[in-house]
Amino acid sequence: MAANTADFDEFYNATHRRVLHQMYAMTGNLADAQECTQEAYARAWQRWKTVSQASSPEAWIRTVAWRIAASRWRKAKNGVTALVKHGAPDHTPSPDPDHVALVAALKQIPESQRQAIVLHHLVGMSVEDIAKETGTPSGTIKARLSRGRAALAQLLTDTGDTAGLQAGGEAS
Amino acid sequence: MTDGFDDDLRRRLTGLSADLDGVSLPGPSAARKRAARRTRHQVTGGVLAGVAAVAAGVLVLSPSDLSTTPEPAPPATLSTLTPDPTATASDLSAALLTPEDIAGDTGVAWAAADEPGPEVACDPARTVEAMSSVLDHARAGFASASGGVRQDLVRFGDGGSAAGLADALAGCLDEEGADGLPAVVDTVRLTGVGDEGWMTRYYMDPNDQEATAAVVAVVRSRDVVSVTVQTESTADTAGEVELDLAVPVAAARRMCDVLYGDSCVTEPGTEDLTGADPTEEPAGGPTDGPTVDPTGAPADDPTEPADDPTTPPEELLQLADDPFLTEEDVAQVGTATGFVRRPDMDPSGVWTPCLQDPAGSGATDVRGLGYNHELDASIVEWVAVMPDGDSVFRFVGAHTSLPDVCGEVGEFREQTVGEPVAVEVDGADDAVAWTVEDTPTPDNPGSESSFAGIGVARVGNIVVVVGFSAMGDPSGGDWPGVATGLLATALERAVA
Repeated sequence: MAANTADFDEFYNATHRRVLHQMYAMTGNLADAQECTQEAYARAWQRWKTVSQASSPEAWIRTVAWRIAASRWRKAKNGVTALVKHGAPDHTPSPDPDHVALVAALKQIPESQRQAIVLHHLVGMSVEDIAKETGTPSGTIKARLSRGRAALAQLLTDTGDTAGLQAGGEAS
Repeated sequence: MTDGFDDDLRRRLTGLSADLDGVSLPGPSAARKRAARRTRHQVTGGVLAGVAAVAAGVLVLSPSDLSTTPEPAPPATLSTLTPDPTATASDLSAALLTPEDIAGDTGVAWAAADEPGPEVACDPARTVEAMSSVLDHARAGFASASGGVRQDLVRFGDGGSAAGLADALAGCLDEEGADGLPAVVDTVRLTGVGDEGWMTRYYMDPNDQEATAAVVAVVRSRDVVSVTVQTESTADTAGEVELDLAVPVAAARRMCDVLYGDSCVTEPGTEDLTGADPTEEPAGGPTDGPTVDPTGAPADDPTEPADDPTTPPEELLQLADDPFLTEEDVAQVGTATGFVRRPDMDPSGVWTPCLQDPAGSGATDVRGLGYNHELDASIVEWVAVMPDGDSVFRFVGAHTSLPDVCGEVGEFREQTVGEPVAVEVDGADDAVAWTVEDTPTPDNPGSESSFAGIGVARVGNIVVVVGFSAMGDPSGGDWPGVATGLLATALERAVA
């Protein structure tokens, strides 16, 4: 096995679960998360020489997977009318009601806020690191985090699932 | 209180991992196979263009033609809202045409072919390979004594890509056919097949009986698009007048049957792009050749507005008083930071390889502004007003194939032109981005490489161009991702 193939496989095996988890939080749909994540790894392999030398290949994968997912959402937006006509599509319910409520709330906040929330609260990135990864001013990231948290708190309150969540404060 | 919020949100987000139990990805080898399939296709397409380009003293890598169009409003289905997980995971190759599908009841023997048919001008296969929204892709080729059929099945991550493919083909043919070749004979919309479809027939050279004649059909059903390319020699088309819908119809029938378990074919037919039934006004011309004079103007230019008195005049956009990116907008471009506006800088001095001059493309107002960053990186932004949307469409479209003919190879340095990528930019009708690396040859040790990333986006009659030039790539290999954000902001600033 060529060295770069082994490197790629090792990288894939070490990171794919984490990226899939993050993409699931971002998309709220396991099938979408799987597809976007796998596609991102395929694109990484196409330019593995470059990606492997990036400061964070995992960040590269996450960014590309996010772009693929965001593209899907734009398509989904075109289908709102059909959703009203036909009702919500069937999907496999999450086994945990808490997960259902959280995923539903995440899907209702804007894409950019959802991305910031997931990167900050799940990935554990600082505001500055998110700004760097997304190419967005840190002030904008702070605003997205603040608004996203406020929106999530409200949405989860509306569903009776506050779970102690209250919005407020500035992003750290 | 905030800490409680953060802690609980973090705990709940982390807890989502439980939903992944029992879920797995196909593995690294599957990812490599998916990538390899695309790479093989790109190499196949690149070899042909590369031969011609090298002869001209030009180094070309991964040339392609592509374009995107405004998001269409296709008939939405449940699958376009939330893709059916079973359909998403299915293997597209099972939904490809078979020799029996193509043969139908014609009695012609078809067989699967190792070589998937000749490359044709403006080949949609190359466009597909370059589109960033492709999620899955399968291809098959077939041959008979009379010609070949090639099919690409593509699952896209956005709803605009099918129309984008059709428009890319039309735009490329319009561009390349400016001198008469290839000669477009028919461009129609397919009806009764899939959610939407288009079909184009064209001749590489109708005066050469050995040259190839092609019929390209793009049919979308839900999130999957079938692209079929039928090829035969010009001599074999003698007597053909009506477009034969059999192949795209068979392709759609099989695609929907295998992927969705239903039929997406009702009453196949065609209409011209303005909605009229073309059979009501049959085109004149000899019956032993194309239905219109192929050496003349294209029979149907989809870029031309419909001759409909009820069509409202195009609303032309104006430039904002300050149409350029602010310093805050360019405070961070990938890993490069701290750019400042430099009104004293000559914007044309920033290296933007393969970029056409907007002024030479009919722009009525062109403005440029330079930015720099600690003197080792520069950005240039151009904003231009064109007389109409079609002019801008052609300007952007020209850059989807321009890397085929740009880039330089010298004794001491050589340029590698990256594959242009269609990017989805908020607020844009379409956009494209590409990179060029200028590297020293082995005979020129000690010199540094240079990088240029360029993005072009349009909305209405306005086009914006952002070019980045430095010693290295600030995007970590994802220039389209960086360009997407810059172009969205640039458009927002540019339009009044």
